[in-house]
Amino acid sequence: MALVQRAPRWLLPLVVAVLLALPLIPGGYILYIASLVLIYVLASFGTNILTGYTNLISLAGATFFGIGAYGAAILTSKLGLPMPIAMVLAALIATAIGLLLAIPVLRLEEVFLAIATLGFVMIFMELAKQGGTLTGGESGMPGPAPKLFGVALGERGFYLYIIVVLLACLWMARNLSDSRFGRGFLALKGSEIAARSLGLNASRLKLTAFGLCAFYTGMAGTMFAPLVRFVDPSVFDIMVSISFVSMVIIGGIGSVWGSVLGAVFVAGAPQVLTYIGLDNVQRSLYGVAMILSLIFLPDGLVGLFRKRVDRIS
Amino acid sequence: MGQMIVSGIALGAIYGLVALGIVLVFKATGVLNFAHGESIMISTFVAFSLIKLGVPYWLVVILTLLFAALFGMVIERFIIRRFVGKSLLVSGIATLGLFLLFGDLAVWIWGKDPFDFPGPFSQKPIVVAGIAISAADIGIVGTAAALAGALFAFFRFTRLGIAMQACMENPVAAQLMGIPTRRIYSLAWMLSHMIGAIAGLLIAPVTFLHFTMMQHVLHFAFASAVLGGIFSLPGSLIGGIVIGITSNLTGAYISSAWKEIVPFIVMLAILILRPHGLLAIRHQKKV
Repeated sequence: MALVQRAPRWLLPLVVAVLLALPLIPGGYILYIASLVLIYVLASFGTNILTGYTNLISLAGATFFGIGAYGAAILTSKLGLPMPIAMVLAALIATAIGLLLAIPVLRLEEVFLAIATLGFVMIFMELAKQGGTLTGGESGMPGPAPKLFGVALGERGFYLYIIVVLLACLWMARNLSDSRFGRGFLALKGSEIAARSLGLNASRLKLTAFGLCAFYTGMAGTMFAPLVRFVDPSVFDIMVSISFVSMVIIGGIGSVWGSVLGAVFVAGAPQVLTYIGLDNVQRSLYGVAMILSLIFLPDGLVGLFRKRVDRIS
Repeated sequence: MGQMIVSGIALGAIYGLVALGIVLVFKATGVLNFAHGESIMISTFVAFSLIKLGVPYWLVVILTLLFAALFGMVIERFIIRRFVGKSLLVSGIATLGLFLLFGDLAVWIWGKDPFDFPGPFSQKPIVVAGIAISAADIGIVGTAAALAGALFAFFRFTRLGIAMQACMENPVAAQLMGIPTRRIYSLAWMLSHMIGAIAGLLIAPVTFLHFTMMQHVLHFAFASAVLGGIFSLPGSLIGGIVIGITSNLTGAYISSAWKEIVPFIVMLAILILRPHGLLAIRHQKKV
């Protein structure tokens, strides 16, 4: 997460100011897209922690996203918990399940791990379909209405809520990157063998990265459910995992601002395409963008800016 | 029970053939090809278009194999070659990109409707030792066995096959011995796509011809490849048969919904017990 330090100091306040100004634009559509992008930023960020630090292909993103979404919906509707508590709880459940799943598979070599995580996606999608009254089966269940301390949040209120959660998560990650874990991750990223020989517990670090990924992605899921007001098994779809991975690759592996750019691209491009009447090129656009960015922008979109910074300094 | 096992073997043979293509490419170029299923789907659609033009079936098979070989070669030459030797993450994501692209490509050309696809074998059941087996199942297993035999002979007895094995074992040494490794990479992709096209021709009559037809098959094929140890060609066929039988027996005795889950649970369980698959070939990581 080196770019947090390298990016200009005014960037974060500027972005937050723009985000806070968005609700002033009339019409709910822009706000809905902005909320979606912010949720994707969080998911992309979570995926980036795992992929950026451990260099592992994990296709399990949809699993945690889905657990978060279903968790928030079930905890609010079936147990009647207030929304913020249900969200944190659902994200923690996603983390717990992520850790449980990670313990047996993290010792596998990377090819085996990638396929094992593909297995998780298949298993959880089917579990959601077969969940009976708990998950509403194939047809899904209504998502929770955004409420805070008994007061219904409108679109604007929920949008601000997402911003607060996102900033809290970013702040947590920032502090984490300065902690023992953060330094450990950097060492692990450089060379696993070197990190091990320095006495770092590489397995525990990988497990932590997996857990953090599950937490952030799960948290994104918990906010997705109230935003679209509906949860069905498609939140567990492998395409969700692929879109998370593609955000990280298109934006830039291992960079916070890369996660942001990637999420803006992946969540924003379909809207632009729908607007100009090109609905059926969405998937191929991601596909081509992924391949092109691997060939021409190995550091992702964020690499474009980084080079300029380097040149000036 | 016997019947479910036999049709499970037939299903597994198809998964095994798809897995074989994945393993071949992985061994030769170190790329995990997530687009393999979509390539097969496109080859099968090409066969479908040829059949609609009135081309006789045997000629369709030959033309489809030629198309598949060309398709594999083009993918390798223009996309994959840039990613050989890069990390699994980078090359895997490149093939995920191809996966997304090919799916849309098929929709643009052939649309989203499912089609019936004619099979070479009749569905009529034959009773052997009290077990009713459809001729199609025997045909599928027979084709897979013949193909496996041909591949074994190719790798064991032909100069090219031996060169290819050398290249998979140690590309640097192979290159020093004068083996054109790049051409071998190309060949691996062509061969993988040809085997895939045969698998596609076998599975399309069972499922329907549709742009999503390979998605489940691909997931099961990955599970098969991993079960077989990802480096082993016969292992992928064995893995396929294990997955096919598991899936069929689950469908028959537990519930058809669990058919999609249990094979993956079996795969995870086997990976926990044997982290390198059933036919483990240990590849020590170099420092």
